[in-house]
Amino acid sequence: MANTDLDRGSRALTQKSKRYSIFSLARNAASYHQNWQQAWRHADPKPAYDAVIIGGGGHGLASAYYLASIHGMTNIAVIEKGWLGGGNTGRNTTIIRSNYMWDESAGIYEHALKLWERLSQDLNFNVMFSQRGVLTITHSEHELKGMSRRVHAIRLNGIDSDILTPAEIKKRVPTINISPDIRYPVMGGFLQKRGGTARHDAVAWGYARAADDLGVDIIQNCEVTGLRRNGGQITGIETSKGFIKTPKVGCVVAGHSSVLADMANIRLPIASRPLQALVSEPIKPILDTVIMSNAVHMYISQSDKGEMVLGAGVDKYNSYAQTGSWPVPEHMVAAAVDLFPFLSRLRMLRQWGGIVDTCPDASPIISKTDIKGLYFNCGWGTGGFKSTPGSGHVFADLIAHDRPNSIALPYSLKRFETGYLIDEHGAAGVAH
Amino acid sequence: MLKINCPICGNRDETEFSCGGEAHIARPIADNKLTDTAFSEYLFMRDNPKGVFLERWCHTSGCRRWFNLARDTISHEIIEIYPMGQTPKTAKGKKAYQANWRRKSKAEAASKPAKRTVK
Amino acid sequence: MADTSPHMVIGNSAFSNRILPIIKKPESLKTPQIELSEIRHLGKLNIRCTSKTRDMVSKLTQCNLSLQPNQSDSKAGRIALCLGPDEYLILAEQGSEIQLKKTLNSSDIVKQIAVTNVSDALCALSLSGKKVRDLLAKGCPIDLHPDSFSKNQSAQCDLALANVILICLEEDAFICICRTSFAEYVLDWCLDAGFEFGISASAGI
Repeated sequence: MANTDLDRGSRALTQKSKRYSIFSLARNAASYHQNWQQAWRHADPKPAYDAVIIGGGGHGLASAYYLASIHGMTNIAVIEKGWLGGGNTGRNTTIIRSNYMWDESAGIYEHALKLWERLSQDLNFNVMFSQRGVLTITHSEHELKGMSRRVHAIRLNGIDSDILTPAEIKKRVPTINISPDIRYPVMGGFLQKRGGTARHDAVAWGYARAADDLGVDIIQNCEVTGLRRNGGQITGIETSKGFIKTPKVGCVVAGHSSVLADMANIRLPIASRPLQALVSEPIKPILDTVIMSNAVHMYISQSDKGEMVLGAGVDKYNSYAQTGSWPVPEHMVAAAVDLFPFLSRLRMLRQWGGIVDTCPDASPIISKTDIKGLYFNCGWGTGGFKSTPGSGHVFADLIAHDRPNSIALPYSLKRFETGYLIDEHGAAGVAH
Repeated sequence: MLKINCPICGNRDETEFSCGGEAHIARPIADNKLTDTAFSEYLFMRDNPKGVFLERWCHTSGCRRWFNLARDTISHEIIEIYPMGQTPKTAKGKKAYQANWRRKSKAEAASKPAKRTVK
Repeated sequence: MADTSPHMVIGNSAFSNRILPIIKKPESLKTPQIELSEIRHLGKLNIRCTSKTRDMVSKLTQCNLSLQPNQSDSKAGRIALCLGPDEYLILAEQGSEIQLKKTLNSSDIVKQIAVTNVSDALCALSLSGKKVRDLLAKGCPIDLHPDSFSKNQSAQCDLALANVILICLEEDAFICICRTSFAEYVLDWCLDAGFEFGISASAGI
């Protein structure tokens, strides 16, 4: 991937009059902010497109943006059955990192992280990417050994990862309880300084605005009801707004992937599970690092609004309800309070769930299918947000060239036949 | 919070149970001639409906017995609980069982031993 | 005057690391409303047998195993519970379980049953008093109302994070069986959860 491709894409936006800048801010302030242009059109579907992305979340919008900006495919559409970014994109705990174990994972997640580092500039939209560091803490000798192995694997791939002692952790995170007397005492941890968080909604909006600017039609409130084929070739999609003719369809619908796959008789190894998150009442800045723990099973960060954002493992049975069940947050908060005693005084304000498409190896599927022109980008499970730009970028490449690049290749659906699974349950950090 | 009516122990909270995922996945017999593609349908591919789903559950904190359960994955309504080794009896359960692609899969066909013929 | 000083409990006890009795209650409460003690001298046998051999096992153990799951029966100092369609637990006077196991394993049905001596693997606690149901309700999600969980009923369930078997002996008297390795956890949990009712934990017999 050449930086020039990305530069070309981002320059495409800067030529339009909708660019945000200190000048546009001043100009609009002078007119009482009544003249800001709509960030994206509410398009009606055309009868035909060169490609259609099903799924208006971060990954889908990113795919459309890169198809338009890098591959020059602007006669394309994003079809979203609800409102854009209303699925998992708007429901995650916003953690971004690339500290996975295997080479293949380093490939995709680091690719994503490098794109995150320039994303606000590329999109001319502040996605509030904050490289505050992601610290994974460990609680047993066994975990320390596993951590050591993982850190070495990460560093061998040229990605930053530092091991910290409990004292060093305490220095960085004063509110953490490193007493040896708690149920699962902190024995060490590893830090990715370049990891952090971003404003999840902003990512969807930024990609939508940039894609729309290049001519991409974003069609919301439009549900796909069928995938039409002629022999072994995709010919279009049936939707609630009518039939749309297209030779290329990219499915990026996360928890609903099996619903789409069933329409084309494609088999997937996915289970759709609830993944819950909750936020506390907002308080003054108290935590400026993302903390994750596999053993006590919680991850926590503080949003820019001051809320503590908490998450844990998936619920243990399939669901499309976007709620999840109470015992999961109950267990998670008990563990979190042990590690961060200050949490016990906070009220939790909101809880919600997403629908995550979990894969047997906790790694995604970025793949052609047996149907020509039909591509799937799914299976990200609990780790989709961090990969948003990388996923969109390589998926666009796959769709444009009808072949996966070296980053996407290992994530073929065929790996479930060859057995070449990429087991990232440990690094996923979220129990499946 | 699901309330699951264990056939042995009665109505209990979901926290007492473990979900074993999709029910009725028949293992191909050892002497099968399946391709990797067909075998992967048994090993990895899963039914994942937005609607009635047939699952198997174990009452891990209780009697430790397994049973089958038909549940709607949107409303979480439990439609039917039926014994391990049997198929659903309700209309919705039967429909979900028949509609599952696995019924027509080569892997499921290969789970039944071929009839012996006497020479 | 009786010696009321706490004494170290040693020997065949799940609480050999503790100094009992322990009493936890608010100042305002004169007497604890819950009594907890270990039933130390208890033989415990887990028996797997189907309905075919159940009557024979009943005869050989002198227990009534014609029970539905989660039913229990007391007879001549022995308690039998049905844990599942083919699984039973017999609580008998200490020592007798060894002979019972020998008797079962030298019988005609030896190849159709399985007998496991779980006397040390499991710990039996006696819980009695007006407030025991309220105590258990804090950590056990089953229906503990006297109408739903009454004499001769039992349940395998969770009490906080421990997996237990609860047996209702009388309206205010229960047996709680847990893994011996969880006994101290269950004790600590009961002392903590039972504080508001007043709880007294003693060594037991």
